Amino acid sequence: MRWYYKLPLRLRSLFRKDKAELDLSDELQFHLQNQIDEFVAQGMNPQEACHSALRSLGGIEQVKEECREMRRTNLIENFLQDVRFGFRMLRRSPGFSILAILCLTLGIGANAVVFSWVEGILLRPYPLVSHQERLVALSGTVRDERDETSWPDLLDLRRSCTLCEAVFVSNITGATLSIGERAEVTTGSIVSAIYFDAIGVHPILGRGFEPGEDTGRNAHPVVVISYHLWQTRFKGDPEIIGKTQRFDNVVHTIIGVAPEGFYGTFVGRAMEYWVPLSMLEVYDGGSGKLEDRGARWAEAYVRLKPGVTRNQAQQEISAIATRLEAEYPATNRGRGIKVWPLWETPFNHARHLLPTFKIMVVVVMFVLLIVCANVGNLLLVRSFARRHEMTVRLAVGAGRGRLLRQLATEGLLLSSCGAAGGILAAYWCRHALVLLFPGDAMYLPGQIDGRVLGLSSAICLIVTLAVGLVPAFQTRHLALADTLKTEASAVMGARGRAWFRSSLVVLQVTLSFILLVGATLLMQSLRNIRTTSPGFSTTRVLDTWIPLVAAGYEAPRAKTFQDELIQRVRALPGVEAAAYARAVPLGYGSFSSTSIAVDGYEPQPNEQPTAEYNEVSPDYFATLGIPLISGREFTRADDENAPRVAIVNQTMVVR
Amino acid sequence: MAKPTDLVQGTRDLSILRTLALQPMHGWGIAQRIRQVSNEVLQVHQGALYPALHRLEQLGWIRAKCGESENNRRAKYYSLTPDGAKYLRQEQAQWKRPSLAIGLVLEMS
Repeated sequence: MRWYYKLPLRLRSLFRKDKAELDLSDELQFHLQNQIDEFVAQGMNPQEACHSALRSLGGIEQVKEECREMRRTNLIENFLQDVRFGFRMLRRSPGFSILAILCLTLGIGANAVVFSWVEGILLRPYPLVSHQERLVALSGTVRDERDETSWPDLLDLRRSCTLCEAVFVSNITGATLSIGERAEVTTGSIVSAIYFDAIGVHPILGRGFEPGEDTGRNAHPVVVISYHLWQTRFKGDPEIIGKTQRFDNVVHTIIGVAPEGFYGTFVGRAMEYWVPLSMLEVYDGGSGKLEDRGARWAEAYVRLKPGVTRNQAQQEISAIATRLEAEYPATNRGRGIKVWPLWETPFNHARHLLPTFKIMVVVVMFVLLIVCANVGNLLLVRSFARRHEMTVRLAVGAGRGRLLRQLATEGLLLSSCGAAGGILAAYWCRHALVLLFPGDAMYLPGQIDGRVLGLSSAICLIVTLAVGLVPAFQTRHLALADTLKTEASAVMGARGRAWFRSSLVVLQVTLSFILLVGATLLMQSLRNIRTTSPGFSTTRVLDTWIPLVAAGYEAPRAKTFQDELIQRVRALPGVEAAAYARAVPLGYGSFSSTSIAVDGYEPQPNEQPTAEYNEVSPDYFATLGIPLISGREFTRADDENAPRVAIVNQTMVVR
Repeated sequence: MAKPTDLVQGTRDLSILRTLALQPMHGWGIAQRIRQVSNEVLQVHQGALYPALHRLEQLGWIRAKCGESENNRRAKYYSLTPDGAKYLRQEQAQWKRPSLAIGLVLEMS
């Protein structure tokens, strides 16, 4: 078992193949010569002795092949030989090869793309963030319904949780960024002071936040900007640190630039800046939210200590939540705290995308199965054409194992080409998911890392086995003599074997049918959504959003701006009507609600009639194509000084 | 004379190693020697001898060297390596016990 015996042997049979072959030949020749001598000595004539000697050895080629088998390097050598041969076979029937490789590229590529999305969006969603496997999302619960958490609760949790390495807040927020003449809405995060340390990301310029910068009311107007923002809006200014910038009309000092490729911690959006929690009032409105245990707004993450499972952490955190319930019954009764794996994070797009991805994975698996059946069938048909070749190989002394390896190698060649194409396709398509959300500034990067490559290779191997061994199944039954004799008249195999091909076809048709039905149903419901009338016109209506106050406009100036803008827009050729509203239907903005009192109706003691309302400009109904059943629209005359008017909907009238 | 019995694999390897323990030998010589030693009772099937030799060589138990045979032909001589000798000793010990026992049982009846 010593390597110094074996290594030279292996190397010799690998690289000095001719010499080894010659030696083998000599050795057997020497044996035969001795045997013949012996037979002659026993009284045979030389010719007879020669035949007898060959017979007693049992076929010189067979013995040679067996000896070659014994030299283990045969494996490598045969493999290389098979690869060369496989390539020759592929070149000989280019139509078949291209078809099979395209099929496999589709099958493996579809899987690789979806895996890269799942990896980049759900499993490792935050580039540059270290040890994401120890990161979990955290939300509050109220009677098993999800709710946000409050900052005082999180502080208590941070103090008493022994299994947590860090607890930090990262809320998505938006701000109007005014640079020179341009004002632009940018997406950013409002975060705990420990944020950058907790996720292991360090600014390339300047510093992250310091402890204590998340306390005090509006005490620390500092901001870390993204690499992208630095490059685009600040033109990569190397002296950027210490300069000031208005965010939502509040002057901030830029203290750091995040590294390239860091997009924050929100699935679906790329963050442009980060501000500390102390600035919450500026970004989120409302005052005293940091001190108020009843104000639940925080979206938090927890980094677990190494080796701690989510369940263990949940148990400890639940115990802490129970204690908080007892300590602060006024605000915390019935409230718990729950941790979520990143791919179920309830407060970003992960939660919406998870079911979609589940469907996608199933669909691409189906596609892969169909591809396997398809290519398997192609190979099977070809294997009938190659029956003669296989038979001859068997007849001249190839073992069935050797034939199997050759077929598997040919399958491997096909699936490797397919896998290479598939991974290339996945690389091109890794950012393609955003195309499904047009008009939404989504950021959904796929990621092709070791795990995706590993999984794709595993699929490639499975496909090889599934596809390459189909024809091997066929050769299993080859009866040498019969096949050689009847080869001329042989048609597509005996009846007994036809069931295999038939079942492949049945499998293929079944899977295709299932996919087809699924796709049709999906299209059907999509069409229903498109054709269902939401009560307003959905065609030829455009909407936009202008946060004037955030850009520094006071109320009178904003009003002038609005009036002027709407005049100019109406004057544009091709514009029928234009209007303002506080919120658009089915948009992100929510309607406000107010309590109402209706004449002649006495509310119950614990009843508080409320109605949701929207603030709109004249022509709103005309613009959206909402019909008025009776009465009139608002006009320019309904201003601050006119009698107050409102338009109610049919439901309200009926009630 | 009855036809000699073919050796099965495990015993074949052992017989080869045992033969080579005496002196380096070529394939033909090994086959002859096994027949002689076993009083013409056992033989190594010729077709199986050479694959076995190549396998033992790959395992590192025997080593091959070119040499001249008695009748001045070029031949490949095999010799036992220390590893092979060790393996042979182990297997011999293993082999003795059951064969002794079977011998005892057979004599009893």
